Amino acid sequence: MKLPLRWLNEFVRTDLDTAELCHRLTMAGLEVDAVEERGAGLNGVVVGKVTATRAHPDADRLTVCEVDAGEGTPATVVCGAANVRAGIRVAFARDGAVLPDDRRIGRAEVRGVESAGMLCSEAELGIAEQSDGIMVLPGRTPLGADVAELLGLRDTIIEVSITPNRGDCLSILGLAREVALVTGGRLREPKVRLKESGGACGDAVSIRIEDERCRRYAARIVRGVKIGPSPLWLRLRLQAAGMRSVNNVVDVTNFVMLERGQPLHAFDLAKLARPEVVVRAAAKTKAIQTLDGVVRALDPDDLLITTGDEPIAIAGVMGGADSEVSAETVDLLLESAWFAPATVRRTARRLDLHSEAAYRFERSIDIGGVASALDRAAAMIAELAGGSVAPGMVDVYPGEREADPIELRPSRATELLGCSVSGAQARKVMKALGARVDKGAGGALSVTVPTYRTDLEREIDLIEELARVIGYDEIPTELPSRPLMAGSLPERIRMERSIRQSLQAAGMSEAVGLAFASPDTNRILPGVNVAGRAVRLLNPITQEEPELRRSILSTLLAMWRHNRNQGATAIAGYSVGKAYWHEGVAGEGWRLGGVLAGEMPSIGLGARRAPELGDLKGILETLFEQRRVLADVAWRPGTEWKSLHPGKSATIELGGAVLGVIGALHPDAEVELDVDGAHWLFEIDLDRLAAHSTPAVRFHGLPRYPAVQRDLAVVVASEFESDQISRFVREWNRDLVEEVELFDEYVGSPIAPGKKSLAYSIAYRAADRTLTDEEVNGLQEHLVLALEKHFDVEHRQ
Amino acid sequence: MKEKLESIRAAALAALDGAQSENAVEELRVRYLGRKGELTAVLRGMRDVSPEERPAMGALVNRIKEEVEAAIGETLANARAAERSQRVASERIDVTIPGRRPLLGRSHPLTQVTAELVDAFVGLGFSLAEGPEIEDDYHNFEALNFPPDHPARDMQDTLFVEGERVMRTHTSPVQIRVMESQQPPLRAIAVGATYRHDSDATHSPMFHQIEGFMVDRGITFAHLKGVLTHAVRAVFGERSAVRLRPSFFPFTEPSAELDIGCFGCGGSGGACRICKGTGWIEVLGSGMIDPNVFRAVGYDPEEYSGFAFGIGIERIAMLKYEIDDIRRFFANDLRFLSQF
Ligand SMILES: [Zn+2]
Repeated sequence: MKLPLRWLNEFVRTDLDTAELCHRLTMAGLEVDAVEERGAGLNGVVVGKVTATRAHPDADRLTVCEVDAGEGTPATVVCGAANVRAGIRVAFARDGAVLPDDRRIGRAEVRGVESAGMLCSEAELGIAEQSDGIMVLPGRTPLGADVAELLGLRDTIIEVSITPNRGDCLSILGLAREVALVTGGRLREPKVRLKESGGACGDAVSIRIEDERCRRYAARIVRGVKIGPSPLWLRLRLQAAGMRSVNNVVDVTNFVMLERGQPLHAFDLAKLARPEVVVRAAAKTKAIQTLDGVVRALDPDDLLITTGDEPIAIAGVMGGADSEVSAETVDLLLESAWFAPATVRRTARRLDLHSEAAYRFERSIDIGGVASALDRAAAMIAELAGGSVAPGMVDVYPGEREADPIELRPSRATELLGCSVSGAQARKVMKALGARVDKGAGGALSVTVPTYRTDLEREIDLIEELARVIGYDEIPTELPSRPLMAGSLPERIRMERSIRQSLQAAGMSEAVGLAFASPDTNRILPGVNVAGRAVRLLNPITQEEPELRRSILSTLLAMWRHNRNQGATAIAGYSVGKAYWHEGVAGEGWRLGGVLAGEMPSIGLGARRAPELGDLKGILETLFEQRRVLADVAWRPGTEWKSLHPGKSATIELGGAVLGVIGALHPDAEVELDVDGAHWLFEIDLDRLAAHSTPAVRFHGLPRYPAVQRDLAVVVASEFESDQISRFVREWNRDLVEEVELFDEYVGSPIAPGKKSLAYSIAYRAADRTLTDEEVNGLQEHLVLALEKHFDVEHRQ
Repeated sequence: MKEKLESIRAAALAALDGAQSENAVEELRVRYLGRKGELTAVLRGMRDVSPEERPAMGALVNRIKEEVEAAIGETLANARAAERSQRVASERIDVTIPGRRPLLGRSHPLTQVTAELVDAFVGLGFSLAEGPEIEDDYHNFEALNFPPDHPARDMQDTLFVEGERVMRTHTSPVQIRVMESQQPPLRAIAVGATYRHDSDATHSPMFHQIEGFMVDRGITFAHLKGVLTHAVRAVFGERSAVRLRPSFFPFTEPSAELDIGCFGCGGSGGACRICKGTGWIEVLGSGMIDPNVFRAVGYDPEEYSGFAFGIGIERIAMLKYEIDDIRRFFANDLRFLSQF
């Protein structure tokens, strides 16, 4: 809400400087967003009189003027406006003048004639958006006077941010009440003087409210108006408050809305089909053409203003085109009403019609101010557009009654605020807010709030007002004295923290991505343990991404593409976040994803190389070992993802259930996803990992007898999975085989083509004795035989 | 025999004197002390010595043997030391070669700021709770005292999900879920992603919040001031100026925004970019929990009171690291991430 100080000063005078006023408003909950010194840049424009004109010798449309600015010697000025003529008084920008758009005016030669400045239009002075010709000032305007000062073009405009509960502050009067409250100033409400004549309003029009969502509807008739432009002062007021001038009648309705917060509407009385106004639900009325020319489809629930069967306005939102005030309008019906905030909001949102009026109705207007705003507007129209106000108004206010008083216990305020609030203090604050205070039961106050404070309904609302007016700074700052409570983090968060450390130590940086995804991305990256289909957003941010991601890898692929496009050669990233699915109902779960692409994220001689599956798998194995679950993890060749390379991917299982996937993209998916080059990625289900219980740590005695190490090399087909032998050997003799580790894989001469050599290191250890060489040699021989029996392997000596 | 021994001794010591390498010394050991060595041969000859002479001769042989052994040991140690120093003199590597290591990965700046805030509140006895991102209208709005069709909902432009769900617009629904399932006294925080239908340099459709609340008998607005001042100073420094000013949130009353003295200009304002000249920076919203919220979860508002607060993590991170555009957080540019 824009608060021009010139306007504010009509309601309350304050000596405070602007900074202090802003501070006090902010500390009273009316946060000042900005302060604009309007017209501050406008300088050196004075009142001048055109004493003589002659045609420019070299240009048809230019006039050479002699301008007297009260200094004796007239200045010669070249002017291009058609309306310039001798005798008029004008706004003369002299040599050195500065216009509001920072344009500096100097002497200039215009087609061979020297011009000592410029005659200004309203647009050039920043008063109007566009002008035909220069501004003509009234005949007796003193020559040489500063135009900005004379017209009041300099003003300080405070932009106040109004919270949704303070609809009463969406007016100059409302803000003036708050200024009076925070400065101790006295509020002066303008008196309305109304002259009435002609046939009574009540004889000319009848009003019926058929829907309780309209609690008050008042109307007046003004006859014989002449539609025309508004006077400069009115246009300046609207402009300062951020509204545009339309014509004198519309401008008055907007002026009164800005002044008092009551939206008004003017109908062309002649265009109403019948002399009656009915407020009702749209029901079977299907459409209305609003005054912006658009035909709007109506909902049966929309609240309408109608005459006969014709809708003439959508209540509180916008008037109809058929009854609009036009240049030919003579008689007016002025509406001032109260409509239920929720209904106005619903309709305005559905039609995407967010007018200043709807904005105020949504935040609830002062039902007690409906009639006085109507009087104010009628009087102003009669004054500015001619015409006469018909005697009386029709004011239908079916449920009129005083608001229920609210009980305010100073003791409760003391309890909640933590500072002592006395009855006298509470009474004083409530009175300053314009409330009536009576004695209530048991030391409580019975508070009847003014009708404009629609936000004050409960005791807690009044306690907030007490705190606000007393000042938050006056309330002490205390720590609660309570028994100690230990703060704690859930296991999932602690797990996440250790995972981050482990991945970062491996060179991976964390990415955080938006949760939105395209249907294509969700098809290509189906997710891990993600059921059903993707979750759809009803109002997505972009049409390209109308779904929630099923896989956290969408974030990492985006990271990959972005950094590659920025020239990065090594991309190592991980991300922790949610995946979402829809299976009857929307679901979500925590996932961890990672990518290694291009080069290893490492430095040093020889460190620059393409990543291998083992690099990423090793990172995950470390992570699993940290969680003490590595022994329960299995890596099964292949996945259900069509987008992963079938020969270069694996399903990760934990305790027999799917935990995740690891691998390289299928070359087709690389094309679809716009990525390529050496890369590996993984995604795992963090919820499943967190849920997998690990045995409590217990100390086992250290081995008492030494282990014996033996190597074993076998030649197998090149597609043979090396892990089969490791698992076989472990199971083959659980008592004596302590560890099996693949330490070499070799392809090439002398190994036959299509074959590879695998070398394992096996540690034998007995719990109760030192194994002898003979014993171990015997074990190795048996093992070779067992391997040859179970697998197509050839022992390599 | 005695002369022979003396000459062997002299020869051995002389030879050792000239021995340079470990190998040369080893050869001399074999020559004198080995199984077929000269001294060993003399020792074998002892059986030819008369029994009377034997003790004196035996002592002599042993003395000479020990002397030679000691000389061998010393020469050997010298030779080894010489070899080591020669090796050291010849060995030289380029110590300026960079270490071979994984580049250190970084956690996201939002994660870092979140952890800092979480740890500050855990230190004050708050426990972390979690809740879903896809919420129902009841937990996201209604139970938090946002009536349907109320303009307060405009403060939180909502992303709607099929099936009458919303992407949570704040972390406050976790408050409701915790209070529905537990009884006071409560001190809890919630943290996570939140969503609004909004996108520009200072608004991201997804952003993060940390939310906290405390409920017990006799909790006052003065306590709200105390706890939040303490927490904010733990994050922004012990000397931060703190002020609270009235504001509006549907689920708290009285409501307050908390500002800290601008660390850009030290609170003097002027042409400061960070605080836009006000000298203050808004860091969190807070207030006493509205009685309607307590009623929604079945607490008696006459018996219990409490306060709640919410902090925008991106905003804090932007202030702390002077980041100009919220979208940088989600582009995941490695040149950005590596700075934190
Ligand atoms: Zn500053």
